[in-house]
Amino acid sequence: MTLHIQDLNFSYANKPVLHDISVDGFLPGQVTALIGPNATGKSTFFRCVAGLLKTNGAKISVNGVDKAETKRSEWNRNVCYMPQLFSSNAALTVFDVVLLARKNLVGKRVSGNDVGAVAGILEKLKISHLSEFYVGDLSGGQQQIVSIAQAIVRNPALFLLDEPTSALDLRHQLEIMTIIREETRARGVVAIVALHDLNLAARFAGHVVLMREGRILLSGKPEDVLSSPELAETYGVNIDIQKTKSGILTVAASL
Amino acid sequence: MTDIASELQLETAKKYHRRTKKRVAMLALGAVVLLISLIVDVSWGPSSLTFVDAMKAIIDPGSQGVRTDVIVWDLRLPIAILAILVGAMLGLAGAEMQTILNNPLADPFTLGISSAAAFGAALAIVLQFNIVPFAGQYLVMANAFAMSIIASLMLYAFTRVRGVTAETMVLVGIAMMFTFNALLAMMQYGASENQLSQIVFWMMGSLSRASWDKIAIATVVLMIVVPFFVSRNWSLTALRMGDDKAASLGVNVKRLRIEMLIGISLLAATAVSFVGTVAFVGLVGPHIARMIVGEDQRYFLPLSAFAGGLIMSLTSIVSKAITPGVIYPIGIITSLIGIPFFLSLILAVRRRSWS
Repeated sequence: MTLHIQDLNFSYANKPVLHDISVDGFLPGQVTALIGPNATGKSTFFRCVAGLLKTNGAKISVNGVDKAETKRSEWNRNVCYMPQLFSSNAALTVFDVVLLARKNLVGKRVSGNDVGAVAGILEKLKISHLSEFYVGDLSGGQQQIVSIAQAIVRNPALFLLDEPTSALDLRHQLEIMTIIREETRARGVVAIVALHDLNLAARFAGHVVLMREGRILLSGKPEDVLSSPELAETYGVNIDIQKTKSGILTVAASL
Repeated sequence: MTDIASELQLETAKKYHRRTKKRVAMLALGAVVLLISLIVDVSWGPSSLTFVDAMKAIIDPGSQGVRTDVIVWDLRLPIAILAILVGAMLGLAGAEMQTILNNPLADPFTLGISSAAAFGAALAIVLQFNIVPFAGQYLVMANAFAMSIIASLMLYAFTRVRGVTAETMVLVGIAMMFTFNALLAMMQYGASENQLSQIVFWMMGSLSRASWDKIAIATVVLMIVVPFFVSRNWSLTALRMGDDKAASLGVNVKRLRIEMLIGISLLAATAVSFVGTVAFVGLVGPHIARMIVGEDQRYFLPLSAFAGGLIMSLTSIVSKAITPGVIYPIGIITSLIGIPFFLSLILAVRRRSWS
């Protein structure tokens, strides 16, 4: 699994948001954390790569397949973007919406395999008991887990997850990040996960990319990027990075 | 994914299969009820025709004499069938309008399509002005149809300029509704007493204008639009998860909205030009379907059509049952029978479906 991005620029009505983003070394099989302050272009970056926003002149390819030469619906079968916020009042059950993601808009028939795959994902994410609930009746955190179930069940080559744990409690944050890491490893796919929580980045990412004002400032191993002066400057804080006794990297920030 | 399915996984799958069976059963039940309603509608009327005679005349034309044949084949059957077709069209149009606008209050009429149709009809009645040349005896109907299509095109043009979001479409639609209502009022102000009553009766809606031609046209429109809607089943279901989520699944949200708007306009314009402005069917039909099977379009779409058809069919029965010998305008009846039914469903179904 490979992802190439070259010369990605993007503007919202003449307001440039992304500048000349060219990245190559996204390693398959490990989680890449995309970090950076608010309004720095992380979501825009995802939306450009996923094809929700039109990019002119950028060259983006997954596994050698060029985005410019691929139909949207086909592109999104390989590239799975999970938007940051999701709330729906639809009269659709959890099972319905995960099945919908699994079908990827194609194929009229729902096979036993489809049903089995959906049931399996719900079990893995420990939300089997919610399968017949309407998504609108769930809490924000539960909806977020459903959203992750939708992403995983599609079996894409590239995950773009925008703040997948923002509405989750501590235990669920760890559980969900563990599952994302396991799935990425087991499938050998590229997973780029936007995270605000630097501790989660330190703990689960094999690679960290730091964005600032629409540019990629730094990219490398978690301990290197997180302890860099650029990171402290980007966020405008002092960073103290330590390894706990159990070997977990922790990041403490102070003003 | 593990190869060996766990207990829990099997249990989850079983629950889904059970619900699927239930949804299919509800569709079948809907079809049966619709058929019963059709039979009742055909066998009920002011002439002293028994149920058995009516059925015999349908199965074996000619066996019951010319008079019975005329009543059944020229009067009752066209009305009964057109009621169902028009109701189905309005139900479908309302269901998809609510889906693409993400708004439970939307129906073809909220976006000014019915006001436009009424204005078109008034143009024909008052000024004898024909939008469609050579419409002949179908002048009023053709004008109503043409004006609804013009309204849809205007809506389309505005949303193209301003961006194809649900909010823009609703706002522009409401603005158009008021515009056409004002134009209609202007027509009524200048109309003679006779013309005024024609306009009012047209707007109250009537199935008495039913004919086999109209049934044929309605069938053709449905045969074009329904497969088109069905082919977008998953995309439409995805749209109910929000624009972003649908787009991330590969749905071209803007294009889908516009495509659907065209289909909806065609359905609504045809329905309204045939029977006049019939309120509430397009609003209530989809809500009934949603409460029963949810919003998975594979079930929501057909049941919305059935629910719309059933409301209109029941309307047709009630409109001739209230006072023997008098057929009340259906526009009055749809609300009178549709709303209590709808309210009882809201009370009966605990599960919320749109809040």
